[in-house]
Amino acid sequence: MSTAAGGDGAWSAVLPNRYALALLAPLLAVLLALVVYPLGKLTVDSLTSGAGVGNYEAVLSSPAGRRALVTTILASVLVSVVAVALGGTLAWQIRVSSSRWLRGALWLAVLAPFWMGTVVKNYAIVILLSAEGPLDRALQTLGLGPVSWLYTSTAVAIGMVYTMVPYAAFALYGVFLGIDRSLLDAARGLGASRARAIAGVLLPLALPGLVAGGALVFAISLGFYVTPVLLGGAQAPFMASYIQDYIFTFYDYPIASAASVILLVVALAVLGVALALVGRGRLRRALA
Amino acid sequence: MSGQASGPPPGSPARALETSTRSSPSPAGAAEVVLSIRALGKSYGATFALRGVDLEIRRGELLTLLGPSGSGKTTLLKLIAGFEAPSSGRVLLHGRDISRLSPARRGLGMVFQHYALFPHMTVAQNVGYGLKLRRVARAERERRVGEMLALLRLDGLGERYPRQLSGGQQQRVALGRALAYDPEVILMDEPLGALDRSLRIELEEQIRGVHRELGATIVYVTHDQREALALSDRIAVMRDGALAGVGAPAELYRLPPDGFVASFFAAANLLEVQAHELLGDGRARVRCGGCEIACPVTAPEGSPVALAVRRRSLRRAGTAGDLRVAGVVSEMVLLGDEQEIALRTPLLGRIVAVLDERGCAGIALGQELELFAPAQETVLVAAL
Amino acid sequence: MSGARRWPDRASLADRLTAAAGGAVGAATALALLVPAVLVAVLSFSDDSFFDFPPHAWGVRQYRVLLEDPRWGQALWLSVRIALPVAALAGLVVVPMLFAVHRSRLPLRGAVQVGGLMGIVLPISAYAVAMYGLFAQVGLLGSYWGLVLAYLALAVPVTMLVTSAAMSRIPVELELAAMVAGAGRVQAWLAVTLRLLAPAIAAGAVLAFVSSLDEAVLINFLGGPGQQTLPKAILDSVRYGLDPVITAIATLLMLATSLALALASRLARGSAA
Repeated sequence: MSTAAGGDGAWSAVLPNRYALALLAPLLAVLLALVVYPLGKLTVDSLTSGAGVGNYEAVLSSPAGRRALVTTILASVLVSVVAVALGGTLAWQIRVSSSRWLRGALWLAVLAPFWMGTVVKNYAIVILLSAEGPLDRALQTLGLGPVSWLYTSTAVAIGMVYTMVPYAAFALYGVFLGIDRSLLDAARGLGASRARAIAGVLLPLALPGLVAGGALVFAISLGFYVTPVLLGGAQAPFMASYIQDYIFTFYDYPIASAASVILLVVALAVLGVALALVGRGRLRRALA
Repeated sequence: MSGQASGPPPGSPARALETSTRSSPSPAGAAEVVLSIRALGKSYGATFALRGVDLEIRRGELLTLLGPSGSGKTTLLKLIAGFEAPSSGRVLLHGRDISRLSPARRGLGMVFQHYALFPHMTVAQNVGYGLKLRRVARAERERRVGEMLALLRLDGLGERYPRQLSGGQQQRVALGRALAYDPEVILMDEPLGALDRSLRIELEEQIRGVHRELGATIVYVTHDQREALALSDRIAVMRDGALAGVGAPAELYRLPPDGFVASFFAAANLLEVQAHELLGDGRARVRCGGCEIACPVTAPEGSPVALAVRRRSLRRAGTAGDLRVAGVVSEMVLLGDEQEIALRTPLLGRIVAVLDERGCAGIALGQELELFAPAQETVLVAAL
Repeated sequence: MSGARRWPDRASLADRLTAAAGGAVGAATALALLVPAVLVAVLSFSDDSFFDFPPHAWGVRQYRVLLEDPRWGQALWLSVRIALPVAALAGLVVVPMLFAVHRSRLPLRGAVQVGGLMGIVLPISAYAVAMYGLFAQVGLLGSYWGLVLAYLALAVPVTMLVTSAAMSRIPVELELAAMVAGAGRVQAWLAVTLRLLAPAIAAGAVLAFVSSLDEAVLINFLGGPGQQTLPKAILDSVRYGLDPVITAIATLLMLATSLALALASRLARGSAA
């Protein structure tokens, strides 16, 4: 069976567009029905149901809404920076390590949040941070007084960093793979100290990748649900709990939809800026 | 005299046709034409990868498409194989138009530069793949595969996987895969390009041997002029998507049809000619660099000309009637048994000569040197 | 890295400090990443019936309780019943796309690929609300197939990442070689490309399965009262107090997931041969 190209029936090694489209159809159907349409409907609903544009006003002017939004954005920024710094350091250690054993061990650690799973990892951090838990007991024996970090924004931030370090490490490992190590050797050969070589050669070269990775981590961080719910609580409202309250406690879907659209817009804006700064290819490579 | 542009411009279809009909007649009597390429062209949008090529490939010959990158040789091979459809013209196999058929229906064989062996199949399965597709019975298939492996000195490797073989062995397996089902024509796309020098020589011999033993018809693509010389029955030199000249290697080398073939293929110097006059018997009287000589000519009437002088034609001693060049030695490179010398001459620019190392006593950089080339070894060619 | 020993002594102290600092941060981070997992695993062997740290007694009480309580088995079963079709469907959707993207010149095929990856990038809380609105409208809230569809949207990017990387490593020359030898296009795809892609497809399916099993956000917004997947069951339990049984479930889950991930990575690497 031969699938021919074009109207003149001539065969070509390149798959003709109409067959390619047919092969793409299932994915397009899934994307349109399960991503594009719901998000579009969400936006429309946020503007037409309930108070219409007033939904946004309600979210942005209410103290609860403002606090949740600001907390979420600030935490996401902080988490992005910390995750990229820690993840990047780990990724670099893995990259330059000559011991296969060490590399394997580091990958195992980096992937821990993945093989623990969403609920289990947050659960473990709850245990860690709980009053009279391991961390509290350890600090007490050191004389640093009882500390209750649970149910605070700090706890949520810690949980978020824990989840995002692997993402940052993956993205940056890919970036580091693409950087020729002999460039660093060249810098060292010219007399630069290790720190100087890293700051002057590695970081500038890795910067676009760092920006792309950071943007990705930020966008994902905005949407965190399990972490704020388990580790946050009433004192530390994040957008996720705000949204959930409005749907399941106040039965106010319009407000919830407006809040969600705000999150999406912020995420897309940051990704868009990153895209403009570093180019589509790098963003795609940071993902893969 | 010279300088008047007339006749078909270089690179045009008519010019290619002219050149090919002017090339040598078929070797050893007219062998049957297996593959016929008629006015074949390929364009991608506004760019022309191939313009109006006419070529005939005869049974049992190894014809090489030789040219630098961008010359269209790979495009031509792809059109013959069927990976792309031509924009114009036709490809005929035994008179049957195959221009629009899929590769599977053309019955050709192909060897790729990076082998393209199926990594999940054994060597025997790779070689027997074409036979399996043709529903050849197992016993017969195994026999044929065994024959191929023996011919290509791969005995005993049938159950190995490609990744367990060396580069040279992998390329031989690729050759076996292409030959096993006895296709009409075998296409080879720079098959030795991925190998290092010593392996390349070894595989060249293998290909030559296979060609001789099986009498296969082969279209071979390369940019390596030495390889082309070593393997081919005929060479088609390509440039900018068109044929620059077709002929037997010796002939293209001694009597290049134009300046491009002279410089690309024979590595000749192209010297500016002050005046020339065609003598009608395939020779011309030429004034070049202050000398007047009578030499063979391949340039058509009225076209701009240059004098092609091969590097090894130049020597220190000369006789009357020779071309004489003189200048200052600007570079010297030892090539082992030979010395490559570049001269900076006042009238003719930079001239490169290759002399036997033993005759180079007393030559040094910065010195004046005069060299001679027998007029019979120079050729008046169409200028680039 | 032997960097500090290679270069002139002049900079070696600063170099050693830099290397030490980097190593310390890396080691500390790696340990911090592993501590929660180790903690949970260790605690799973406590014999207490209520949560306390450190445990008063050690034993296998938690595992015994786990095996005796049908609630957890049922939750696991629901999770598996959802994850299996999701993994299969994700494969069916993604594999044809690979050929469309890597073997044709269809305009905007790159954009579709990026679109397919959106599921991982967008804030999941916002996506959950969007799906909530849609499902409320079409009556899919609290439905089994609704969950499968929603999970599918998240599984597709995961499968796509693994398989797309593998596909881009399969040179088109292999298919061309098969076609010259006499195979039709589809025949070449089946005999050569798909065979070489199989390990990556399997890896993608395993990862899609694992990520669906682990999903804890959408279930809260889209699931009905009777639909307790394993993550939801754990989540609900944890909200109301720390039941020590969870440590046993968590430990078993960690084991199963890491085995599955190891399998997937072995498969994905195997396809690079």
